[in-house]
Amino acid sequence: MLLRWAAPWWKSVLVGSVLTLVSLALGLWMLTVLSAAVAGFLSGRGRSGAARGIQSTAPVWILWLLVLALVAPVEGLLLILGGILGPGWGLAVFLFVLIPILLGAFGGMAGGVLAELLSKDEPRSGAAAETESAPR
Amino acid sequence: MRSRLVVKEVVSVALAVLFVVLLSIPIGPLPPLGGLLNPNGGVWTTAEGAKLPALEELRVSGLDGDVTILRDTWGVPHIFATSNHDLFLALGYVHAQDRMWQMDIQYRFAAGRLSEVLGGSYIEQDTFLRTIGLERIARGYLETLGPADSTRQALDAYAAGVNAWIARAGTRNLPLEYKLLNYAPEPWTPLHTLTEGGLLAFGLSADFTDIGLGLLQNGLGPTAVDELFPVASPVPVPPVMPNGTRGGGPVIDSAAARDILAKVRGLSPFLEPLQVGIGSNNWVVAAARSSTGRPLLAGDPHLSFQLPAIWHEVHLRGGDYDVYGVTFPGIPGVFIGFNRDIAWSETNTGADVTDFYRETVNPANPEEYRFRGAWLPFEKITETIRVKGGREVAVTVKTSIHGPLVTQRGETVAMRWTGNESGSDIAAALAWMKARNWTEFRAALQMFKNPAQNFAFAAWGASPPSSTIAIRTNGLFPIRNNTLGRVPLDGAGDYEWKGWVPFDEYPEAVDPPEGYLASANQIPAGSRYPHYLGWQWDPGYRARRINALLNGTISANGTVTPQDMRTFQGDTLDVAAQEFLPFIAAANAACASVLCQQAMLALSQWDLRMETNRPGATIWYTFIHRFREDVFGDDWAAANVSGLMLPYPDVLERLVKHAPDSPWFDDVRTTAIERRDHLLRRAMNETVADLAGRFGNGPVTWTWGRAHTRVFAHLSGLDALQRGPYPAEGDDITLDPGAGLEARAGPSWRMVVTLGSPEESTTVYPGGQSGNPLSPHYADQLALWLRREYKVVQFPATAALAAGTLESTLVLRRS
Repeated sequence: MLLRWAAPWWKSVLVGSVLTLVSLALGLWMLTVLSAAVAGFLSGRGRSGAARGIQSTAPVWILWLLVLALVAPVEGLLLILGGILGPGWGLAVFLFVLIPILLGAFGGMAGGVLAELLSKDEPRSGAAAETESAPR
Repeated sequence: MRSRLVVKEVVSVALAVLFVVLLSIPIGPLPPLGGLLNPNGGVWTTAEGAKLPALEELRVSGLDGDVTILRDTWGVPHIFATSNHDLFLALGYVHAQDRMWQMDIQYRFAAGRLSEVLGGSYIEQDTFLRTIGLERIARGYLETLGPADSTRQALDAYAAGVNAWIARAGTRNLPLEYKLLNYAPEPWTPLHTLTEGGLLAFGLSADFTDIGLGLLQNGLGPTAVDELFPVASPVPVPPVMPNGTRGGGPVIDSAAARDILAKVRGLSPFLEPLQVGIGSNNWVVAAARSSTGRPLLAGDPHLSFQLPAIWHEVHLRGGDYDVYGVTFPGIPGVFIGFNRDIAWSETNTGADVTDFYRETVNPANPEEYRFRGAWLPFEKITETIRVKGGREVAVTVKTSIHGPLVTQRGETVAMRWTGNESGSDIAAALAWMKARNWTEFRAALQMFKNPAQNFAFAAWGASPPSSTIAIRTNGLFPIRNNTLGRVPLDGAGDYEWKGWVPFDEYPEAVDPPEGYLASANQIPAGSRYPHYLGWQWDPGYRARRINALLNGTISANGTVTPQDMRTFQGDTLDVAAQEFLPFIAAANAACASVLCQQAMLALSQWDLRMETNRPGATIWYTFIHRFREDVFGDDWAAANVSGLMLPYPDVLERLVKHAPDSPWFDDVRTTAIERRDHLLRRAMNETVADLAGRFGNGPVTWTWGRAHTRVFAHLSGLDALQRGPYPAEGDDITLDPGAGLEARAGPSWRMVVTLGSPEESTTVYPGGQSGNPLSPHYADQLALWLRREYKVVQFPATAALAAGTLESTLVLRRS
């Protein structure tokens, strides 16, 4: 039923993104991995689940920071962090982007595979199969 | 197929969990990356907190009434309250708001609690600080303060203000350093304040030179030490009493001495800010000699260039107070500043208030020591050091009748320091902040014990017109039995402190006929002064320069203007160079190499100013350091005391001028007998070779700004948070100082007060109000300071700032 509701790919990403946003707003960044898992689960398959997970976490993290950058000197902080970490601001940006990507990938993959596992118990809906192969 | 999916699921879940766990634990020195980089609550809140809201209201429990805090364009808080309690509560709040981590880490250092947050590599430091016992001393003093005591009330109110900020910040809005180190502040208490105050006293007055001098005496003998490290400058004064040693042998075991010195070195960088460059200037000009017709006061204490800055500038108005000046974050008191009636500034006296006693341990019982013919037990105190990521460490601190044992390696040495017996100076600060005249200020000084300071003071009363200028050396000065205590002493009981110099016998001058008074860490009193106060006085070059400038200006113009005072603070004329250059020129008049001739020409054309565009300054500075090393380095090496302090330049000046054949000029490594001019030539040849190697073969390009810089390092040691290096003027001798080729200390606050119209006073310091490196006030005053410019203070009597200068308003409302 849930899979059917999330049939267009963006719906699973939307759900995942909202959950990521709520997790961050609550100050519970680690719940990001569960948001990705939900997005992955809604996608119905492991590999696409990882992609949906990434799509629902990394943009939210990055957007949050970009919005913050409009009102606060985030770029100055990146320079400082880069200086503290050693190689420069690039490493700070790299780490910052890498974290939600991996959280999204691992969480989304787990959710997607779980959906696959559960779907083995019942015939796979045509709608879900169509969605998977639909052009993006 | 299904089993493959199960395996895939297990692996995916495991990877997800593992990654979350990896992000949640520290890796090496790095804090948990997940929390650190989390966009809502990680380090990014540092950027959010960079600017204070334009208007904010907070409910704070325990207030007597509402408090208004206006921040001007420099981020200076102007606090308007209705009671002393609210004033100090609000001060605690703004200190925490601007400098919480600085307060916390300075306290932790003083209390020997760095290991708790920085890990096991700080255990030795912590152990030594626990041995010194600054927190024990603070606790003892705190216990003497009853709940009705005004000092206690100020401390309690201040702590409540700090804690109000901590509660409001939560873990989310803590300063960057907390995020990087992954810890949070504990509730602030009066004990934190008093312990941090103890650190100031320790840094500025606890002096380990006795140990170094002891090693020098071991190696060079007492006659050499008395000649090269005289009690009074510039003419050596033989000690009037014996040195209090055990006879002909060494005055301290070498292993013990080096152990103590290593422990003290280990206290950097937290102690260095208070010790490096502890020279300062202050002077006052009487109304009759002032262009304003009212007294003028100038002060620039020389401390470390740390960021966040050592000082925090405030204006406090409410209750008994209406005062402007600088505070130490963590302590509720204005230490240098002014109110509507008076102004004051301090220079470090450098008094000898520390002695080291060699205890004779009972061979039959190592827990006992000999004192006045009896065996007394060492007192033992057990302390527990908590260690981040490690096991707790139990430390047993032993004390004798003299104080804590600072080493038991080689021999047992106890340290006696006036800080152990003088409580806290906060009561004095709270009293002088509200003083209205010299009588009240002097009464406040009666409570000020440690570190000994030279207070320059000026007062102006409008009706009836009255004016006072004064200078007074103030502290707690021990009177010793049979000794000056310049080197470690026998602890058996013959060389004890037998009392204190009476308060009314401290050096003091009020309203002198010259119309001005000045101090620059030089000897506080003339040879007829009956008490021994110490010997590590500044060579006096700065003092000579200030007096010459004041005297010259008054002679030429009749009066001194506030602008003159500011110009004097930025003066870079090197008085020592003036004294040495004729001898350098004479000895090198026929120097052989072209480079040497060019260098001598540059020196002859130099105006003696240590400005960044002067090659002569570079040549002089390099020369004098080479020369001093050439004169004494061989003797130090022969006595196995290399690396220990060399004599001050004034001693060298005396040798150059009056003892050209002194054996100190002889190089003991050669068979020939060298004299003064030989070494003057050798040092010049070394100088040009050194500078040519560093800057190329054209002496005109050896400008001082290429060789000499200033660095403003962050207290954490993180380079990413420091400012500089900047090409810099000044040297160790000038009024505007910059000691060392990479100067890390100097004028930590420059202030010129115009009594009678205090709102025209000017101030500046090398840093800024905020500890947040992203704040516009992190180092905004630094640019002014580097240009030797000032800002005009705001000192309003009502809660309103000049038009266009209000940056933010915070109202603390009673809840």
